[in-house]
Amino acid sequence: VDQSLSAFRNKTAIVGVGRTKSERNAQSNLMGHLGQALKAAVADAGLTPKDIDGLMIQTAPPEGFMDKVAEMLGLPNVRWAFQSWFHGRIQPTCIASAAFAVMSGQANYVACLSTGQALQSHRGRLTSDKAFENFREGGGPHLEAPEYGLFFPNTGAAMGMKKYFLRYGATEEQLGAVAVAQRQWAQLNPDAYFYGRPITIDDYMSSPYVIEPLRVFDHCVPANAGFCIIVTSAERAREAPKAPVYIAGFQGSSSGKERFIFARTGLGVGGQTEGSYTVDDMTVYRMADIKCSDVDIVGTVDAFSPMVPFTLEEFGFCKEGEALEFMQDGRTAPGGELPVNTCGGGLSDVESYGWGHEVDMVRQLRGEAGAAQVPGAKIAQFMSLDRSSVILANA
Amino acid sequence: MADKVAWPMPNISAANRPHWAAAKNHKLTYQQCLDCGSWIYPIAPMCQACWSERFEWRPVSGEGKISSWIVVRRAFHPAFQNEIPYVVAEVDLAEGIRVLAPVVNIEPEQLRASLPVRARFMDRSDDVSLLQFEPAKPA
Repeated sequence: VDQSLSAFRNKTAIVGVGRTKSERNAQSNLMGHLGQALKAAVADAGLTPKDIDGLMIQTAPPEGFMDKVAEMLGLPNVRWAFQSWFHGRIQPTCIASAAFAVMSGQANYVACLSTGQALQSHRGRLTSDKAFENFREGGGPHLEAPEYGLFFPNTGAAMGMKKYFLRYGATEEQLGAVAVAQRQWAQLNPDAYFYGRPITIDDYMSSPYVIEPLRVFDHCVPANAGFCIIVTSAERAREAPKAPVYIAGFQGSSSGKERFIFARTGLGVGGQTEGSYTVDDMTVYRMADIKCSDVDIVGTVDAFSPMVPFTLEEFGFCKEGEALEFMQDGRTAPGGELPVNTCGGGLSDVESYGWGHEVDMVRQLRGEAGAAQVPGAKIAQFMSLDRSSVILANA
Repeated sequence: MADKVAWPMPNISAANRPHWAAAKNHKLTYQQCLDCGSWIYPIAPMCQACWSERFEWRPVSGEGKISSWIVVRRAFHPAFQNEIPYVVAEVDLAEGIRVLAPVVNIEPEQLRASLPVRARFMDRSDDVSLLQFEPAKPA
């Protein structure tokens, strides 16, 4: 056991969660979603608004700037507030920041708030030739290039998937299993946007390409919803009405030329060197003192379906080039051996930048996931392709 | 109607202006480090290999091989309504740089991994010419 890392294992916990139902309504009130999620989480934790003294916000600008949220939502005692860029790959670092605020005594209860709000973001800010994500250094990090007709991050995901098909010989039908499995999970989550609307692999294969090789079902749901997670110390969590869900381990985003946010390391997309891939020793597992084979439930950043098999390979759940084959025959679907994105995820619930996944994992580890409950789940891991990750455990 | 829609233009900045000025003359240039000889990519204020800030904009061969590609089949912007479907590829240049650009003069079905391609330019405005690739040998 790594003593320096184990000092952080299970020192903090999630004590309350709340969310709203996913909806596609461009007029919906995002602050209203945030407020409802906050109220639900505070009630779930057995707290009052005055108890919340930390605020972590991860929303797509300009909505939800932290300067106004505490004031608008009636949180009078916030003494630690922080805000992050909204990509799901940064979500684990948001959770870790909240945990550090608690561990260092800067706050007792940090409310982490996020909205799925890709729908609002479509108002020309994220997805057009004026989209600000296209004007970062060297162009967008997902291969956006408006002059070449590439406006969306799905460009990078499609490029990565094609590269994977070329290198490993997997098929588009195998990729369809990702969307079908997550749609099955969404049938067990009444808050999911696609609840009540299952799809089959035939539906998938007969749907049109958007950017070949990706079809419409390979894309996340741009819908609105609000999410809240309350982080506190393990000691305080043990006094709460619900059983604590401990933050057992975390690690931040890895960055640099070998990481591409829509490709597994070594795939050979963007600046990556093309080569074989084996998993390194990762901080998140050393901190939690587990191996990936101990994980009962997996959540991944899943704005586009290729990210799911790529992430399973990045963290070692599957060997290089084998994840899509593994995901056949319902192995990651309800009842499968490795439940993945059990709320329906970005593909079938809402693009929530990981917060929907995290709320769902807490409910799973408490045994509160209803029809979606994975029997006996003890350890859940959320992760992204740039290796940011959080491991949650109920003991 | 479609021809009145402004074509989206690249983000030309102080850092990449020499690259676009050369492109206007149909030359593909990137920065080469004067201390260690590495090609600096992505375009940056310093060499990623040795941190030298001494570099020169130099032409590359424009020859490369297709690494991966996508076929855009939906127009996300009115300027591209008459362009779909269009192919955009990542191309590994002979100099070891992987660049992104459309591939023209080939049908999507004829594309394959490692297909040799060469650079060409499309004049898009009085100031901007855009990099494209085409098969090194006619398809």
